[in-house]
Amino acid sequence: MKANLFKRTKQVVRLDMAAIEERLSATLRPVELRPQFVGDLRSQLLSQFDAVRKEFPENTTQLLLVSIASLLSGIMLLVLGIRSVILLLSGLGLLHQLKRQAARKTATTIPQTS
Amino acid sequence: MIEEPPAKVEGVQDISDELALTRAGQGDVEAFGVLYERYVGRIYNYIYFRTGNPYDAEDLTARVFFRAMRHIRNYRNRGLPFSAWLYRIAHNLVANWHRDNSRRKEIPLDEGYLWKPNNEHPEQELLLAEEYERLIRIIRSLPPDRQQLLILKFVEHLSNAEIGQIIGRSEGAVKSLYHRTLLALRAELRSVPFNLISEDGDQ
Repeated sequence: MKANLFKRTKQVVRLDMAAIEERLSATLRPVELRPQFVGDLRSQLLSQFDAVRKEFPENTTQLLLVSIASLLSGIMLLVLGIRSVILLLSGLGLLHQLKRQAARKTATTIPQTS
Repeated sequence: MIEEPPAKVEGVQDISDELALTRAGQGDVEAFGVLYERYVGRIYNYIYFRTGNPYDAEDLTARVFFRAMRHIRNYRNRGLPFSAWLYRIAHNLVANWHRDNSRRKEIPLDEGYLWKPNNEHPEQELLLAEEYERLIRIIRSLPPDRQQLLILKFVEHLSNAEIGQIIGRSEGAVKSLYHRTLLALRAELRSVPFNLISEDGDQ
């Protein structure tokens, strides 16, 4: 009995869905376009086709330019990095030398007591 | 003596979408024109049912084709139909349109433009028009993917597999989404007092 009830409910749901589908197909019907709109847009598109194509260069050219730019900026970054390391090392060296000089100076100025 | 029909010469109008796309990408204006003529109606219908306004639908349809024209050279065939690409552009433009118009008052559907009564009984016509408006309003309150599914299924008469290609889901997922959409519609229709009248006027 329970199974029958379930079967009937399922059938009712299906019928319900079928009714909704029927209404949808009656409501969602293709609409007609204004022929003037279709014609005007066509002529606008086709007249601007070449101009628009030139305005937007090919993807490959863009890719090539971007690759060259990235390569150049990469090289520049590398050079800058090396330069900053050299600068840091020379700064450290200078500091070290100054310290040594200062130490030597103090050693010569202090009189020996012995 | 029976004359043999002349061999059919393949004109621009008869070429496949793939070939038309390749040619258009290489700068063939006519090939782009062919693609335009093939899809302008579908795209317009899709946008029309998503926006409910014929003027905005025309404007957005024009934008879809201008955008397609700008990027057709960069179009890469990934095994999807050309229409999927156009629908994707249209979908994005409609989403932007909804975002821009969210604060503006909704423009009602132009009945005269869409609903063409051909019945001699004005009362029945009025009821049908009301029912139509209600159903459209309910459809437009659904999430965008569900609206898209219903439009592609009922306006364009596409199969689940074709819809799947367009919306980027499997056939099974489309079937499931469709079922859930019908259930949601049924729930909405039940919550709103609604006369499900058949075209013959039977209740």
